[in-house]
Amino acid sequence: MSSGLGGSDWRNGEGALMQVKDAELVFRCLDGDTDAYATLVRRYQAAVHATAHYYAGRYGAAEDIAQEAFWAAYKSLNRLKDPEKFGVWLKEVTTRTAANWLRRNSPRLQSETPLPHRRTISMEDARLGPDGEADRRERYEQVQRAVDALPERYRLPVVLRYMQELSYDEISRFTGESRDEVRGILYRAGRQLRELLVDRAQPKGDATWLRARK
Amino acid sequence: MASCTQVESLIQAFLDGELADSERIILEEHVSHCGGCEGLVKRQRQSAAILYEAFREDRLDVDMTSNIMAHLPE
Repeated sequence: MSSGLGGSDWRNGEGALMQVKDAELVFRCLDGDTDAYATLVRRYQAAVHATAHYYAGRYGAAEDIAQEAFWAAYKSLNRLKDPEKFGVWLKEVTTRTAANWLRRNSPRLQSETPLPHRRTISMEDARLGPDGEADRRERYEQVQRAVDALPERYRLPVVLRYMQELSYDEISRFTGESRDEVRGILYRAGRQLRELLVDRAQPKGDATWLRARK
Repeated sequence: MASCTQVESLIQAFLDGELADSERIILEEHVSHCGGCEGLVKRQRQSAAILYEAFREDRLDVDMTSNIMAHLPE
C-alpha cells in the first residue's frame, strides 16, 4: 500500500474499504472495526480541514481543530441518527469543535494582534522576495474579503472547491446541499467573485498611475 | 443551438470539470464562434486561477489519518 502524498489518491484511501459507503463504514465502526473509521477519516479529512481552516485558520488552529473534530465524532458515533448522513453530521461536529476552540481561546486571542489570514510566511513567499511576498499577501487578503462578501451559504462550498478541489458530489455529501444546489451555488458565487476579482479589479496601486503621468 | 444565456450558466461547471459530455460539447461548440462567451470563459478562468492560487497555501498537504487513529479516544 503506497503512502505517497502526491496527487489526491492518498486522500481517497486505498484498499477494499474504498468503495464502501459511509453508512456501512459507520456500522462496522460501531461493531469495533477501527479500519472502517480510518477510511472515513481519509475520506473526509480534506473537507474537515478546509472547514476548520475557514473558521480558525488565521490562528494557526486548523490542524488541531480538525483532529479534535474526528476524535469527537468517533466518541459520539453511536449518537448519529442517520448513518447515511455521516458527512453532514461530521460537518456539524467540526463547526461545533471550531466554535468551542474559539470560545476557549478567546481571552488569549483578544489580547493578541490578529494575524493576517495566513499564519506563517510560506516557502513560496520566501522565494518571491519581499515585493513578491507583499503582492501575494495583498492578493490573499483581497480573495478573503471577496469570499467574506458572499452570502454565508456560499462560503463553505467555495472554500471546499478552491482550497481542496472537492467535487460537487463531495461538497454535496459534506454540506447536505443537493448536487444541483452545489452547482447553482458555485455558479452564483463564481460570478460574484469574478466581478470582484477580475472585472472590477483596480490596476495595481496608485503608483502605476503616477509613474505613467511622469 | 445554444444561446449565450444558456452557455453562460454552464461555464462554472465546465471549469470545475463537472459538465456532462453533452453540456461540454454544446459549450465548446458555442464558444468556438462567439467572442463574447469566449471572453467570459477567459475571465471566469482567470478568477478561478486567482482563487486556486490564493488558497493553495492553506491546502491540506499531509495525511492526518495515522495521527488521528493513534490517539482515538476510548
